Amino acid sequence: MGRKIVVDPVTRIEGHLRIEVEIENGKVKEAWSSGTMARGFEAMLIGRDPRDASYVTSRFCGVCYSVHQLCSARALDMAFGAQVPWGGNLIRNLVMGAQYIYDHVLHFYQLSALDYIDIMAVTEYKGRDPDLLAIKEKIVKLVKAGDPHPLLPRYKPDEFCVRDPEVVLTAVKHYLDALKMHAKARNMGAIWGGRTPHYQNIVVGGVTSYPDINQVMQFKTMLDEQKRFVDDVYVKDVIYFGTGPLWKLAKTGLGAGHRNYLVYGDFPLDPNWKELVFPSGVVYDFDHTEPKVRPFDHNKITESVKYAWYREREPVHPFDGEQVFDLDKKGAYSFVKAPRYEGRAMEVGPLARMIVKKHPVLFDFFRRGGKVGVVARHLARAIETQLMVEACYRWLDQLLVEMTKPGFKIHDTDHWEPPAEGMGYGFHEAPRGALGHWVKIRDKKIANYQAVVPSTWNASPRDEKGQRGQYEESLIGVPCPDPENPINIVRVVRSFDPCLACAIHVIDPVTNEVRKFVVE
Amino acid sequence: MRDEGVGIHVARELLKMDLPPNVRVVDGGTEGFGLLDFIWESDRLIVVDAVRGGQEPGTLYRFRPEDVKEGRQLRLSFHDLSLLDVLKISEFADRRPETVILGVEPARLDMGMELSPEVARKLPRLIQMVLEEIHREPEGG
Repeated sequence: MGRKIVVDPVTRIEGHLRIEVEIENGKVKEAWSSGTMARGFEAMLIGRDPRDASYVTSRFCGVCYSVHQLCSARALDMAFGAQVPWGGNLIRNLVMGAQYIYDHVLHFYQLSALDYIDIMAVTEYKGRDPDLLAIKEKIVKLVKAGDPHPLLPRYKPDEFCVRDPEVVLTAVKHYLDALKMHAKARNMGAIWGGRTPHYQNIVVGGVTSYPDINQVMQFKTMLDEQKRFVDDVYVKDVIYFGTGPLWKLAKTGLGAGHRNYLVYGDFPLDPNWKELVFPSGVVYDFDHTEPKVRPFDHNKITESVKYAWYREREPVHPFDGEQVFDLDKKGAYSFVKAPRYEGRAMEVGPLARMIVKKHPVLFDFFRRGGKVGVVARHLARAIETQLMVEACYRWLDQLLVEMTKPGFKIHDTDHWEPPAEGMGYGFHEAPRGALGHWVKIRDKKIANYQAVVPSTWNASPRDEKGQRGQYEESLIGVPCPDPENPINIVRVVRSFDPCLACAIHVIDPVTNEVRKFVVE
Repeated sequence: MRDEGVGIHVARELLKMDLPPNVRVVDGGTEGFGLLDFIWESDRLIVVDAVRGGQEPGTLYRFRPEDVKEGRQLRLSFHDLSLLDVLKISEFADRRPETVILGVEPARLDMGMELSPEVARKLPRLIQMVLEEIHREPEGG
């Protein structure tokens, strides 16, 4: 029996993902991924006016609210029989374009990069660059004050950590620049979305407010600045790290998992949805020399609850899914269900999208010996950010043309009233991956509602056949020589940009001194 | 949920009031980094939230981020950072406003939209504390 370790952020912050692994001979032998929080939102929707769904589902999560708002609106579009005008789709696209830039830059610099650098290397810096020296001084000051809180990762640096002082300092500089960039990116979505957080403008049938020329120009100016950062800093950094200091790691294929990829497809570049930024497709047992992409058919999706805390039943399509908890169920270990495609566990997200698209930069990385895994995931995420930036320019131009046409429309107003009966599904490629909402309407009210979120695919537990979910499979064989320092496990899980619905947020000062702050 | 949402209840009351024009009330939802632009464009920041300090439910707290030096490393979750982390990082970026955190010890955190009686009772006092902060002279100048 190997040694068991648990990586459980629940005890540290508002986490709700718990990873348990069994280590034997310095490697992960078995892994379990648990969602430790129940999402009761879907049950709350039953009996409500279907149009509420876009607002209510946007509260699934405090971070990626707009993705649910959009996905829900699309499910309702179908159920209501609404035809979203091209102008409405263009604005929906632009809202999400800003979300991509925001999410991916944040993920790389603030949430992941620290797993790959030895921050203390900066003390060795002997150069004369005034910017870098200022950053070095700041870090040293923090460390001396005993409060290096913002920068030190939780885990000890290992053989894969970058130690060149100049490279590390430059990375920290970019970390700071990235903060400024995504503070701005958040405002880009609000140009169309009305407010942030929780935009209000995406509804069944289209969007609610007409764009004016000033908004288009404002968005474009902000996009120019983001593009410079994405091209000159983000993508360059990822390629530099991935093919330079981390090339050894890239070649190991750390964290590959099942090698099955699923993309629903999204972001039309023309009114007929002929060309998409992210084409849909399914890949089994990926081999870069012979990538076979199959067509996607949503009828092949089922969800197993064998190891989840839900009432036991056979795997069903999400249209027939339910949320009936069974907390005493034997063998269950997660609130996340196990979605499968033709019975297989799939990975969704940037790597899946860039594989299905056969993006040349990623395939060049494979040809040179890079493997699917953590580094490939970061690379795919950076490349697709660039694709979204380029697409935003195209959408802005198209929007300007649409706006000058007589009868310019952003909403299908004829289909605003809920139908007596209806069914619909909506798909969206959210930054974290394939997202689907399914709705059934009876007597003009929601009769059933199910969402399968990207992290449900990636973080799923085992299914009725005992097949592991993608996080679990990705962890098998991962080196973990020091059980006290499971840095590789963290790298693997973080490379997916995990997100399970936002849980309880409470400021937790965790200090004995709390008494002195008591007012009354 | 429930007492966790005490901030929203306070914000709703504040929005009904006639506050000075340079005061902005923001429902931050559950965001950390998403609030960066609001934080950075402010000179002073008053955060209202549930605070788990281990005292009796309904206990009111007032503290500054610098009072909470855990002496431990960044509590980087798999997913996002807490507001305290974002403030620390803002400080590192030389962009942190003068910040005070006003909080109340929660009694109930289960699913629901209503406050517990323990916390609801303290709501008027908590709002009063926010107003006192708004009208207080900035520290250190």
